[in-house]
Amino acid sequence: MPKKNKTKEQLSAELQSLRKQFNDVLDELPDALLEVDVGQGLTHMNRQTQRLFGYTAKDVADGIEIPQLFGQNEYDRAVKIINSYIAESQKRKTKYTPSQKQKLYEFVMRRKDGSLFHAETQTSFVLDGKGVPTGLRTIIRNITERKLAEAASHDLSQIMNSSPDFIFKSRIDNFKFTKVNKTACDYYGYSQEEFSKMGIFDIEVAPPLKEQVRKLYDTTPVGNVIEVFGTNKKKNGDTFPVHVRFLKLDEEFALANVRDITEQKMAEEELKKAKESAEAVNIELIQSNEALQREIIERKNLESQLVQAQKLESIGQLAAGIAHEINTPIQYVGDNTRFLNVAFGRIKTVLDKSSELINAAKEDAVTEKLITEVESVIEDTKMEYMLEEIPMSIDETLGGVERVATIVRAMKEFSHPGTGEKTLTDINRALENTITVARNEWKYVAELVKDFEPALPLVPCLPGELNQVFLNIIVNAAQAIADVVQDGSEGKGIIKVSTSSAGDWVEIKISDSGTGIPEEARSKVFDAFFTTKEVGKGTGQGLAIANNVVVKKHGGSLNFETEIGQGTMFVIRLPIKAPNN
Amino acid sequence: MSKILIIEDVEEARNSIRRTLEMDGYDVITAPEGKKGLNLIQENILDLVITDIFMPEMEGLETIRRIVKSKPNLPVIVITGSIELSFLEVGLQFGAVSGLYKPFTPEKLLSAVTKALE
Repeated sequence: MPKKNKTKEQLSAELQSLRKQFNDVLDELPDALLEVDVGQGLTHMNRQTQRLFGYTAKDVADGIEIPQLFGQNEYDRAVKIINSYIAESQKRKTKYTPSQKQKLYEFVMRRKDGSLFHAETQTSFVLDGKGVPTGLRTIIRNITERKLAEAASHDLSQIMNSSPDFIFKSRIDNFKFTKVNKTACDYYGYSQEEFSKMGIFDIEVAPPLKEQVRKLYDTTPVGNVIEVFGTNKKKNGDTFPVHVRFLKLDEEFALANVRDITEQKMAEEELKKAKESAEAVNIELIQSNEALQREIIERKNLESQLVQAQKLESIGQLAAGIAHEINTPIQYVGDNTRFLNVAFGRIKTVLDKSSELINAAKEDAVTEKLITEVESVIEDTKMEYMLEEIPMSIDETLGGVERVATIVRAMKEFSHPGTGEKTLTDINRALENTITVARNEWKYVAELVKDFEPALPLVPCLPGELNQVFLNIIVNAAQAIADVVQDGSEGKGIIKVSTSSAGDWVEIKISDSGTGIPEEARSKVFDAFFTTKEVGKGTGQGLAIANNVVVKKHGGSLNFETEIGQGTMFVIRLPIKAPNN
Repeated sequence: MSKILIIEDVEEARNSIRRTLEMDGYDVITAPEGKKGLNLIQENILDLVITDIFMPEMEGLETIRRIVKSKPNLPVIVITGSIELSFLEVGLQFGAVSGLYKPFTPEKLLSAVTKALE
């Protein structure tokens, strides 16, 4: 079968079969071999390696993390070595070749059971077609025996002295040093001779305790490595944290490989501090967030208090106007009632005199004098005038009582605090009430024209707050017109209030023939505490509150059109369906 | 019989004051606002003017000022429905002889009228 006719599946199967064959070959190798993929991690661990590390095939199938194959800190060192190798190669701009000879590195490796051993590794890169490394293949040899042999041959000096670590050879029975490398002498400040009279616990100031080390020595098999952390002391008294790896050379001697881990500790400490300060910052953030939340709630409370305060303020202002509005009908209702009282007295006088005339007529005793007397009573009591004035006075009295009732009713509905919940409201009626309570504010400067859509849909709203909006805009309209009308010699201005519905919206337009809003003020109209009014005529909150109520609380819109010298029209749009919030 | 001009914008109020004065025997003419009132002052021989302060700021006050200017001997009584005390004081400063706050009784009005006509 020609190659090009192979299906993907067939190719894949062939590849898998090849891979298996390859793995089988690897398994037959005398060396322990690991394959690592850059992306996938450990991809193959041959049988020798499993044996070396004490893993079963099942463990391999379940997955083994690479770091757990290494002794303390050794994995990081391996990664560093590999990275530096890649970096170096890239610097040289050379491609890797499979044949490229790799350096040998020694690592302390960890078995499945946690025990450690010395290993020599030889790593080569697995390359893709372009020579870019996609993984690595490492041969691992257990060199513990070799190490033992080297140590046993007492030929340690060279190895020991070339090591950057501090190396101590000591007796297992009494912990006395038998050999110390030069690095250690330089660092600790003792001469070889001084060291030769010292033991482990002359330099060890913090754990591990003697008993513990003794126990470790006793329980550790020859050739195994024990890791401990402690604190060592120099000749000058300085102490430093150490990481110690003991290798039990035989039943007589142990080799200790010691590293100063001050920097590592400091780094850890700094990391811890950084973590703590990050936590502190986090706590601060949480706290300031909570404070912000509280602030928002307080602001919301303040906002509603502000609306209430402004409402009370405007009701206070309105109260004077309303008193004025009520005083006038009270005046004429009182006057008229007194007039009707007098009128009744006069009518009674006329009736009494007329009764005399009737009685006389019954007895056929009507005299000229009596008729004259009756006529003169009618004349004296100004009956003609009374008959003309009485009906007018009664009408006006009834009208006055109705007027007062209307004002009181409007006032009651206008200032009703509401339930705090949105209620279906007749906007036309709300406007009517607002116009009534504000009448004294506009009646001297403007005619008010109403153009209400008769069947306007009810709007779910906070009526008290919307009334406030209408009031603020109508009072503004009246004040804008007052600035134009001046002494009234040119006649009054016009305030037009109209309502209409379109789709899901109800639209309220309040226009005036006032001064218009100056260009420089237009962008600030809805800003709190912005006012162009003179002191005492406004605090600059009316439209800010109106905007808040219409937009934020009702999901509506509040806009205006204005032209200098022509006037301003505010357009309020309210949704018929309350937005979910 | 003394002739009195009432300047008051609310028709019902104008009528009720008119009736009170007429019932007491005065000859009364009325005007619904200042300008017409000023015309009537020129056209009639009057003994007294009773005027409302229509607007807090000006109109009634302006009317008083003009009456006092053109007829210095014609007494003016100022009335107001406002509850702000300052308005009447300003009216008096403008030359009114006395002032009344609504609601006032017919007796008070008549007594003020009698006093003004003395």
